[in-house]
Amino acid sequence: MTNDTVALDDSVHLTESELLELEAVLTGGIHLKKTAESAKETVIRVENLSAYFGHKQVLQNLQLEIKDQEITALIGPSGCGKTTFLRTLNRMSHTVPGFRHEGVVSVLGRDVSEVRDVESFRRAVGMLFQRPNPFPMSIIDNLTLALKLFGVSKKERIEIAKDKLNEVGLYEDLKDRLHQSPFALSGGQQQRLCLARALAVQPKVLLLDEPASALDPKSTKLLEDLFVRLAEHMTIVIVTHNLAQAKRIAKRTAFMEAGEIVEFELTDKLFYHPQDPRTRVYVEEQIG
Amino acid sequence: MLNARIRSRIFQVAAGIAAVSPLLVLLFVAGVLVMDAWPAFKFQGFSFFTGITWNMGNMYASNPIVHNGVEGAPGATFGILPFIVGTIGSSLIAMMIAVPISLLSAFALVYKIPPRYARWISSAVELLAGIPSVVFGLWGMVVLAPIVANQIGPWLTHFGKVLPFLAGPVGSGFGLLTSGIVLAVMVIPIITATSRDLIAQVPKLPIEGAQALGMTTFESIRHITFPMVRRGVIGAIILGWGRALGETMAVLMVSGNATNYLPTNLYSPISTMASTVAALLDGALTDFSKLSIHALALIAVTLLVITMITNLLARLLVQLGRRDVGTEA
Amino acid sequence: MNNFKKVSLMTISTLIGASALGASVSIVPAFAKSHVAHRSASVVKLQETGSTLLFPLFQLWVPAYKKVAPSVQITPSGTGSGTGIQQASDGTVQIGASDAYMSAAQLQTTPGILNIPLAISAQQVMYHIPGVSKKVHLKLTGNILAQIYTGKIRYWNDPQIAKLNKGVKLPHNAIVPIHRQDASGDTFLFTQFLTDTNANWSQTVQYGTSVSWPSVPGALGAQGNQGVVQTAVNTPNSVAYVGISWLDQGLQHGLGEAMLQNKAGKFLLPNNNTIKSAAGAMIGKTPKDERISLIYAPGKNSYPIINYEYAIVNQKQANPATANAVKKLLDWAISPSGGNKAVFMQKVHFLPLPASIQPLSKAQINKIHG
Repeated sequence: MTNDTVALDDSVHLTESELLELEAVLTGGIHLKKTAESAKETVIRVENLSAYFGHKQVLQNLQLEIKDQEITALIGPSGCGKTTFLRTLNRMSHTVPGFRHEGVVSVLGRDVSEVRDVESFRRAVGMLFQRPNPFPMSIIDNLTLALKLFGVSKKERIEIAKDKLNEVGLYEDLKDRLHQSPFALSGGQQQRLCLARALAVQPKVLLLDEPASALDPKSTKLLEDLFVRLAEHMTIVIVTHNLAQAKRIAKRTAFMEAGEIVEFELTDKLFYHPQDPRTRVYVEEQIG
Repeated sequence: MLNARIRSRIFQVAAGIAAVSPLLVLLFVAGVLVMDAWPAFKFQGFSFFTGITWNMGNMYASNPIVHNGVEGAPGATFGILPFIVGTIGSSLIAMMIAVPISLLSAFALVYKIPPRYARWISSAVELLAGIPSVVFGLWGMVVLAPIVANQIGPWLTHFGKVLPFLAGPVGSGFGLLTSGIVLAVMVIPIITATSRDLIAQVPKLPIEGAQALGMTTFESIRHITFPMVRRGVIGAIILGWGRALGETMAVLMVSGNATNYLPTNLYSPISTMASTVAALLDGALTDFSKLSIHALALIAVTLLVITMITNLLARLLVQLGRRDVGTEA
Repeated sequence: MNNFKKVSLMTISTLIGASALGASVSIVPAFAKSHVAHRSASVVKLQETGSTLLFPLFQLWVPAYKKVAPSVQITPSGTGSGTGIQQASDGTVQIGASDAYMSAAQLQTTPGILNIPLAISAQQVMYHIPGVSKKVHLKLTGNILAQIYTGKIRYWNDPQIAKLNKGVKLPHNAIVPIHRQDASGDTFLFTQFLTDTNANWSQTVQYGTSVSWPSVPGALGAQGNQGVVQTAVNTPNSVAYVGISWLDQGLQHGLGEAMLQNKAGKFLLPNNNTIKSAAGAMIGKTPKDERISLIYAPGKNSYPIINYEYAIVNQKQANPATANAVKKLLDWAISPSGGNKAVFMQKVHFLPLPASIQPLSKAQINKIHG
């Protein structure tokens, strides 16, 4: 949490992000934003990132800075490399045989190519996948397994599990069936369970790989609200096909095409005043 | 239309016959065996399973003896405890070696080894499964037995103070341990290939989820993949175990074919039920009383029953195992 | 496995032997005769199965006999003496082969079965004792061997063995007796020898193609002569009985060959002279049905373990043509100018049937009818 609150008047105190949202909606005012922005930490820094699967280049010379307490969206046509990029940020791409990258990818101050202790690194960088992926065990075990492996005491990890279920709004629904299989839950509930599971290990960054693509609009809305709330105290990067979703929740958006970042801007600016003709074409096509 | 209906009918009947045929064959084989074995059981009673002396009797004597209404060669007595112990002992040793190796290599083939190497290794494993058992037997006899006698055995005897069963003498290299190793080599391809296919079918997503949570490969296999394939893997293990229990030729060549005594340590010569039936059948044919043939049939029935028991036992373990997946709190 | 191995070995040697012997002489006649065979309408098919010790000999005989009787097709196979007896009795095959004659009780259950000697074979005792020179032939008696196989003599330096082998440094190592696990004519011969030389053995274990071996810790069973040789080679301090046709194999692999004490008290190795002498001593005792043990023959120069190799044949064959073919084949097989020729006998280390036995076998062969 940051103390960068700005007093608009004596009675109302807004957090920085709320303020920025408000400000962006109202005026798009350059002034305040700049002040606030310079105070934010850069959590993810990408310089000259190129990546390959075998001989095939999938990312070209990416350049990007992602700041704390923001939601950053990655959009672009299928196969543009946005998911690969996302998965490079927590070294999941590196588990694919034949993957390699050049350039600097620094996450939370650590260069991913020099990370030795992948496990503790990934604990700090949580991830949510395209489709819900509960583990084949009870709901409560889904939440506590990782904690158990990291040596958290039983009392404590059950406390955390309940806390996180509460945070994602599932506790009331599930408190009587914590020992049942998660596969009976709805898709939306499963995905929120996975989110709670990711949050249980206290990550500082959250990577979302089209997290709502398999969900109905109501569940999607619930998730999006959660993301916005979570962004108050963490960094979120979301890959999405859904431009409306990016517009709804992302502070900034990067448009990628053919392994390149074409444009990286404040979301509204990218959608309403795209600088690059390629962005314009894509946005117009998608919105119709 | 009618045509199609008739065809569908024919298909149904054919499928029905095909579906029940394994059961019928099993019943038929079991029935014939039991009938063939009955006189031996009548002759010997339950001491057939607890006796350690196997004697088909003096077949060159001219006066058959009669016991419990069954005619046999003079001196005939049939005790198969050493064969039962040898069969179960050698197959258990085989499983103790084969199961960890097979599962490790199956997981490695799916998760750790790059696909283009994994493909080669997989084909090699499948090829290994197709090698006739005499080849394994010959290898066990010529190559492995001397190694067991001169290297592995003497090394294992160091643990004899902790586990008296491992203490010497090591002997000739023909015996329980060598049989177990040969059987292990024979069942590893079966368990590996089957488990690998199962593991490859496990959805990748939960495993990625586990890895993204900061779990190691081993942890995610242990907690995510393994529970999902446990039933199938145990099935694969049963398959391998069945093979080990019933293997004949390779064991015949390396077991030392102990007669009339029980193994005293890991290196003792043994005999198994299957190899005994194979080895003694020819001689039993010259028994004028035919009792020896019935006794061999009774060994076969016993082997069938033991195979069925181990199968059921393993299935029971699966059931218990599933309940054991328990939850916290 | 051993059958398979033997078969393949013998097939190869047969092929080599046949080409070396016959190729240069008989290419054209063989061609001409096969033409004749094709024209003749009635081809008689004979099946032979049984003893794996006799099987190599049949393998040698088949190509040779084809030249004698082109219209007869012989299919030999090595399955074991028990199978040979069984299948000859029930008519599955025309000729069964066995190293052991059938018991009286068994003959009663299968009347009309003939036991016809085709040749004479022998058996030697071999050992693998570290530190004992291969040039030394250890002296052993049936009595000592019986005590070894019952576990009464446990070490090589046992006083009884040492007494017979002064000057040989015997180790204090536990003896590993090796026996045939499968039913075998070799077991039959060996256990007869022990029965004749050890009173305890003659009352307990007795003899047969498959006996209940006394429990001796570490004692090993092996499959076939090949398996016995291999096991003895692998196992220091072992002792084993091996069919004569596997003698060379055993010696090549460094096994020792024992001199056995005969009835007259002399220690002998098996060779043409000692086998012939033993056979000569037993010929007079051979009964009409020729079922007799040749073990422990009298005579100073008689090797103690020799035997007849038998063809097991049902007197009543399926039809006259088959009966005729079987008779002709057996006549040829025991003839000194036919199957008993030195060329065949030497390859398998057998001895031809002595001339005085020929009439007995002939008489039995003549009983075969259709």
